Amino acid sequence: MKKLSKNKELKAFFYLLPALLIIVTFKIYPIIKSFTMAFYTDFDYLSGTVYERGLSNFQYVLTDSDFYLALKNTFFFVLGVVPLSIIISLGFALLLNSNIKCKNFFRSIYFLPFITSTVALSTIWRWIFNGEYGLANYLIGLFGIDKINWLTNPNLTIPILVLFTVWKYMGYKIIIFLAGLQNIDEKYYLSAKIDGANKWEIFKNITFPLLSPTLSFISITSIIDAFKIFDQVFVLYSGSTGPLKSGLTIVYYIFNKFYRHWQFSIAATAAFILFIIILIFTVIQLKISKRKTNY
Amino acid sequence: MKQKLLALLLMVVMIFGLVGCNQKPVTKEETEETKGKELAEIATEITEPTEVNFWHSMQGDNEEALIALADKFMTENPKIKINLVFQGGYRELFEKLMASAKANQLPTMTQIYSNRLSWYVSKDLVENLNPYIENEAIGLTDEEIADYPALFLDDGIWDGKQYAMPFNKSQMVLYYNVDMFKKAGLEVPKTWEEWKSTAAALTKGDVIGLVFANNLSTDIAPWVKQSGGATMSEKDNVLLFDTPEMKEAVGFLNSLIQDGSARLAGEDKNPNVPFSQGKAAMCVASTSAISRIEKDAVEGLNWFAAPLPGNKTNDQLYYGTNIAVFNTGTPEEKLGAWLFSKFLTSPENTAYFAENTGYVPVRKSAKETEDYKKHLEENPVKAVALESFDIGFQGTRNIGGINALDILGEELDLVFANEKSVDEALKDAQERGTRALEEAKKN
Repeated sequence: MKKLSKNKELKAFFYLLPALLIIVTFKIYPIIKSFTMAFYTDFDYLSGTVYERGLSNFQYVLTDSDFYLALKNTFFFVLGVVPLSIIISLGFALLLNSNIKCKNFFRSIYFLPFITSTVALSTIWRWIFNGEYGLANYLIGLFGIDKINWLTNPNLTIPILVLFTVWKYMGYKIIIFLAGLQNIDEKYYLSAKIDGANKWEIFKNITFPLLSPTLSFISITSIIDAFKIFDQVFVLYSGSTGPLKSGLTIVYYIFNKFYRHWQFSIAATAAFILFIIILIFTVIQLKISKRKTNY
Repeated sequence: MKQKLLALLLMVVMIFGLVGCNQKPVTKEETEETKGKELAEIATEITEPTEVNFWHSMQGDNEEALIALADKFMTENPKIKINLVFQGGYRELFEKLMASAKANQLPTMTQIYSNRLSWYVSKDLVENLNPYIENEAIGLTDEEIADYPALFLDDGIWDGKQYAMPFNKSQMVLYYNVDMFKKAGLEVPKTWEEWKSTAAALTKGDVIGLVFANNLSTDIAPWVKQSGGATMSEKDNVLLFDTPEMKEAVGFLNSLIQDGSARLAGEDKNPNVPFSQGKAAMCVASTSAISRIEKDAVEGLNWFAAPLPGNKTNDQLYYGTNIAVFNTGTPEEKLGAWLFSKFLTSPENTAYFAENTGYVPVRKSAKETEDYKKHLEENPVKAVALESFDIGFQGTRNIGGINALDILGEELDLVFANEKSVDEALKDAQERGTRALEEAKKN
């Protein structure tokens, strides 16, 4: 009996091997490599020889005003995107879950931005918000409001990015919420109706608590995604960090340090710090959701 | 549980297997020694079919001209096949080069800025072209060498060795709207004071006097030089951001922007865009924009170009990439790459390239060729950039210099947006830039 199970284990292992090999070489190894790279203080990038290791990269990043600017911009972005996208997509999911006409039509409409490439969408948004010929300025012009320099005003960078991201990922979140909503047993609603509960009470006491696993999934993935924002800025501001660096995010900082400035170990250090930040937020959320979630 | 352990064990073994290869303790001196080894003798004859990969960033008309030249070269040299590989914009090209250097898969030759090439030179990855140039059979004669404008050849020389040949060069010039000048009865400015008053006089209603490029980091060079300074010293690798000359230059540009007679390109991306729409009386841009302006100009736009107005001196900025051959190829490939470099910079071919693009021919005698003479008669604006070779200079090439200049550009943006004073910004730029320059030495 024991022998058999061992055999089975071995067999399973060999089945897993191809996938494991790919994951290890293309995911695990680069992650570990970039972690160790964060500690290189003097090295030859090409040959890979390291002359000196130390903590000075951390000192550099943590005293770099640009890094704090990137942190600030990213935090504001996360603060804007996560709650807003959850509220809006939950709202639409509730609407779509009720008996309205053309349900499937609306569902596909909301899903369209999600399946279109970010680069294509950002290019369109760049035209919408063009200060001279943009649709946005035309529309507010109809109400007699003066033209706004959407893309060159540093104060509008984060709000535009938030708007864009909420809109783009709304469809995906709606689908997830809809799945969660449809998992809630009809009986609860029926008995609540018998008890004479109104719509708000039903939402508060039945829908919301029973939706909490979906909610915690959405909020964790949203936070992780939001911290990693990069491509929207890159395309919307044509390869720059926006007016007066107002669109400099952590990943953009890493990208700049690596590709533009060739400060490979600094980039690795910043990536390490980003990893720690995301880890902390995820752990906190998991803790909270474990306590509050009804499965 | 056991499976997990097994998987973990395997992972650890693999990781150490991979990392282990390059973890030998090495000191810097040891590697430096091996670098000194003499390179193998160069090949001087191609007997077998040879392929040369050339990475470039040329699009549209520029790419077409390059393809035509490569085809011509291949008919003349049937044993050499030139593979032109378009790698996107300059930034993407340099990103890919960097990654390919790490993967040991550099192309045979590439188009590259000298401020990028300096790193590859320091890593001993670039082929010294002197043995080829000096070779009687395949090289260049002294007259031919003297025929290249000195500033272009100098841009490719490190420690007395020619590592790159000039390719697509252009000059930063002042484009101006001829009709607007005529109407206002103004002359093309020759000095900074004249420039300032002209810009103010031409700013009316929808039209702004002058438009600059968005990122004035590397582009600040001509104004600093004209004030008697420089952005940095290549010899001592020191930044000169916080100097009276830099202050004079930045102060001048800022005064134009603050009084509303000049602006940066902003959303227009390039200064020639509002200019070709007739919304700017003047703009500062590269001569490589000539063909763009010709295409985009609104009907009836009457425009011309002039050298930049001077201050204490009249120095003019030239820029553009060179072509370099990496030393990682086989001797035949490197020879093929040299022959193609030589071919591209011959008077007829560089004239052909200049004719079909906005770039300057990189040989003085190119303007004596029949075709180019005729071309200049038809396109007098293209002659502007041929006249300043003697007072021309090219940008600095310090390793990490781009990083420092990027920081300068950011600080200048703050000055132009009225968020920082000139003194404060330049002090910060000097401090942060020096740090970036130090950091660049680490790899």
